[in-house]
Parts: sequence; C-alpha cells; structure tokens
Amino acid sequence: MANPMVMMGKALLKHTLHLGELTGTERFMVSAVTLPDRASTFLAATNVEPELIDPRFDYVLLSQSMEANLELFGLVRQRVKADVVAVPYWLGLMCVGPAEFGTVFKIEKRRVPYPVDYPIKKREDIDRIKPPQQASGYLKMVFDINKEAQRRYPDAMIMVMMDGPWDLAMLLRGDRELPKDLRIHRDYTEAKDQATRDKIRRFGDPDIYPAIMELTTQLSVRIFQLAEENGLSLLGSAMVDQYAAKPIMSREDYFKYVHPYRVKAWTALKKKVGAGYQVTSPQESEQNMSDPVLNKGFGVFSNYIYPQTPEGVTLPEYDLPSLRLAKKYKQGYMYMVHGKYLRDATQAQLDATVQRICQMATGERTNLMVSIASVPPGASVEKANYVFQLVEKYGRY
Amino acid sequence: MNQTIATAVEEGNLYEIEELVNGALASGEAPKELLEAMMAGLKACGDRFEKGEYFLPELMGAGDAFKAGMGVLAPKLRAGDQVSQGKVVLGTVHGDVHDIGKNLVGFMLSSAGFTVVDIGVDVSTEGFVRAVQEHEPQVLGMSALLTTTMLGMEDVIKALRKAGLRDKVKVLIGGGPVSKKYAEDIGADAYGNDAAQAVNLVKGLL
Repeated sequence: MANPMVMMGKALLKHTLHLGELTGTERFMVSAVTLPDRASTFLAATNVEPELIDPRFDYVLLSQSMEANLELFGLVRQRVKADVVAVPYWLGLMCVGPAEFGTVFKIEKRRVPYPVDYPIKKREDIDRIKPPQQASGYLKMVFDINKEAQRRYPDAMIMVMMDGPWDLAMLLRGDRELPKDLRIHRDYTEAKDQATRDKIRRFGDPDIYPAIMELTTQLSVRIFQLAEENGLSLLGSAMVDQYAAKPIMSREDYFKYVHPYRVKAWTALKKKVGAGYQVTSPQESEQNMSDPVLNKGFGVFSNYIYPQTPEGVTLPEYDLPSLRLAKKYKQGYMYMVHGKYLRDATQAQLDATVQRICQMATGERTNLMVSIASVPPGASVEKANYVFQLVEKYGRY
Repeated sequence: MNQTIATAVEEGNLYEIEELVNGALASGEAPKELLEAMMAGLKACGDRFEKGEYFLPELMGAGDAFKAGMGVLAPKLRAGDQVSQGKVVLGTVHGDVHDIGKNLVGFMLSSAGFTVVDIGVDVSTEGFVRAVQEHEPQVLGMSALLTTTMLGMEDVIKALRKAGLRDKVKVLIGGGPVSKKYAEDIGADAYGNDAAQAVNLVKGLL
C-alpha cells in the first residue's frame, strides 16, 4: 500500500470536497476518523476457508507455497465484495513465528495448521530460545507474502499483526501449562509469609512464568522489528494477546501479570504498534480508555469476544452502549458477524441483524465497520457477500 | 462439614490441602465427610466461575487441590463412600488441540459429582469409539473450537452407530462454532453454549 497517511489524507479530502465516490479502502480509512458515505465492510481473506474459493487449494499446499497464498488472496479479492479484503496468508498460528522457536505444527489438507508440541517443557528450555537475527521459515514467508501482496495489489491494506508476549507464550509453553505457571507465580508473589512461599515452591517453580514472559516479550519485539527490516510498515499494526482476557484470566491478573510485559514491548517498539485488549463488555471498553496503551489502535471498540447467544449473535443489549461509547471517544465501532451465525442463520435472520446494527449506527451517527469473523465450511462466499450487500443497503449515513 | 478443607479446595490451595486432610484424618474426621467437603469446595469454585468471579487459573487451582487432597483421602475411603452421579467421557475432536473449553466442562461436571474420563485433545473418531467401549459412559461430550474440526463430531456419531453403541450413550457437543442447529443436524442429543450449562445438560440427559 502506498504511504497510509498520504492515502488517508487524500481520502479525507475526496470525501470532504465530494470529489467522487470513495473506494473501499478510502471508505474504510475515512471511517476511522469521521463518517464516510456509509458503514464500511472488512474481511480478512485468511478467514475464508480455501476450499470455498477453489478446491485446488488446501493447507498443505498453502503452507509450502508463497505463490499459492498470493493466488488465493487474489481470488478472494475478486469474489468477496467487502470494502477491504486483507491478510493474504493461510498459515494458521504459524504466521506469528512459533514454529521458528520449536513449536511443532501438524499440517493437514483440510485443517488449519495446529500446534501439537511445545518447546518450553522446563526452565532450561527457555535459555535455548533466542531472539532471531533474521527472519526465517514461516515468519519469512509471511513477510514475503505481505510484501508481494502489497506490490501486486497497491490498494490492499497490509497490516502487520503478530502475537504479543502472552499469546506467544501460549504457543511456546502450551495452553495447559501457561495458566498454571501464572497461578503458581501469582500465589507465590501474593503469599503473605515466607512459610507459604516455601510450600508453594514444593509444588512448582514460581519463577518460570516471568522467565517465559521476559523471553516472549523480547521475541515479540524482535518479530515486529524483523517485519520492518523486511520492508513492512508498522502503521496500523497490532500486537495481539487475545487469550489474555476472560475467561482465561481476570482483568486484575491481566493488569498485574501480563500488561507490564506488553507495555515493555510497546515501548521498545516506540509506541508504533497497537496493543488493544479484547473486551467482553462495553464497560471494559470504557475502562480501557483511561489506559494510554489500550485506548488506541484498530478495533478498540469491538464486539469480537462479547458473550454470544446460542445462535452466535453477540448480546444485542450491548450494541447501543458500545456504539455510543465509540462515538463518545471519537472512534469507530467494529461489529463482527461470527462465522457460526453466518453459517446457520437464514437470509431473513441476517437481514434483521445487519439492519438492526446499521440503523443503530446511522441513527447514532457512529462510525461503523462490519466484518465477518470467518466464512466456514457450510457457509459460502455468496452468503458473506449478502451480508456486505445488506450493509450497503442499510448502512448509509 | 470441614469448612477449612472446603475453602482450601475452593481457593485452589494446592499447597496446604494435603496437610489439612492429613490433620483432619488424624483428629478422627470421617473420610467420607472430608470428601464431601472437598466436593463442596469444587462446587463453590464452579459457582464463582459461573458468576464471573473466577477464571481458568482458579479452576485449575481448585482441580489440582482436589486431586492432591484425594491423593491422601482415596486409600481411606470405603466402597460406597464415593457416589458418582454418572460417568462422562470428554474429548476434543481430531485436528483440534483446544483444551480449555473441554477442561472447563470437565471441571464443572467433576464438581457436581460426575466421574469424568478426559481422553484429551486431537482425538480420532476411532479414539472416541474405543473410549465409549472401554469406559461405558452414560454421556459422551465432544468439543471443538474450529469450524473445520467440528465436522469430526458427525463422523464420531456415525461411527458410534456403526459400532452399535449409539443407543448406549448420549452425545453432548459444545465449543465456539457449534450450534443447536448443528447438533440437531448431526443427530447429537444436546448442545451446550458454555461450560456453565454442562451440569444441567448432562443431568437432563440421564
């Protein structure tokens, strides 16, 4: 993508002076700062199952071939009628670099690559993992795909999204062990006396948690630096720690035992990387606004991990307060249609849901971005496009 | 009821539970009553999870404390002291290594007195069938977090039918991408939207 700030400036000028209809990317950019002509739509291409686009593509091929990812990205861009189609690689969590540090992934044709073995089994393993001098393996592949996608599709929004310290630690230690490490460390740190601390030591190593988090903080910083060194811009980039939230941990534990590492990484990256926190309610969004790290970046206001109804719609009673909060803080609201709902809902149900959220946003005059979390097996690209058509119909300001 | 032991389990005090159970036994308390206290602690922890006061580390702590306490208590219990509400086999389907949701369900069921056999993650269709043959549970629970892996649930139900086991076990499914409609489509007996529902759903199936 050309310089995003220049593009943003041009888009705002075009919109303000009514110099023609906004392109999808322009609309999306304008919606980050002011009301465009209508609510914008967004889809991460990687969230479309490859076989729904073309049965020639599977995860084995996509994990081996940069060209296959780029070709599939091109096909998704042709088929999907969203304002912005981003994220051009289908590598599952291998895209954030853990395989390069020893996490073993299983790669099967019809299943997104998934981790089956983790490199940090004991304390000594931590010392064996070092921040890399250069990008290699799947991490290099991701950087190369991003660069080439940018070259082939100059209007594509290429954003660097990599794991922060906690999510990377989950991939290096495993999601069974890391929460236990945190608990033992927390209990030890908060113990009232030495006798209790001595007892805790008999049941586990209270120091392994901070050692892992120090390591993954360094790794996370280095990965973002490598992205820059490989020619990618960090503008609009995000440090993702989506598992450092409820119900994995309390907000209190997050601020005591995860947030300091994220702040360290954010500071080391000269505050260029967004470091949002996934919220489970509008109240949490509002609380985040008083934090200088959490109050900015893409998707600060989003229903992504709000509680859902059994049908897969996030709690409707949260929508209006969320939209009003986004407006209060002059930010856009990212409304996510979950893949489960896309798959199971009838057209009439989708129509009612999109109409409701769009009319709420246009009535409140709040910037709204509508995205689909995934286009899973059992759904279709046409159904995703139907959602985007509904936004065009109901989302005009 | 020994409230100190119940509280130790509820608060995940893995570090002192053995001493507490040993002390209570030494002072003559009945093993069965101590077991009831530990079960009450698990339940209280589950209740706090449901209310949004406790999270994964707290549940894991309570589970570990319960196991440690049982390590002391089990040899002292007599046949009939442990009355199970029923047996549930739990696993995450093939291609999916997400453990957390399944573990939460396992915890909630254990705390309600069910015998839980956790067969792990990335379990093959044959693995589920073998587990049903071996453990003869009243309920089989399957979990998936991915829209692609959830399709394996249907394979398991078909394989249970083929093995002549489908009528002998109720099938409960859950996980982020799963829905009531999907449960109906594949012939499962019930669908759980979250871990907190698991106990009532399983009780309803029995």
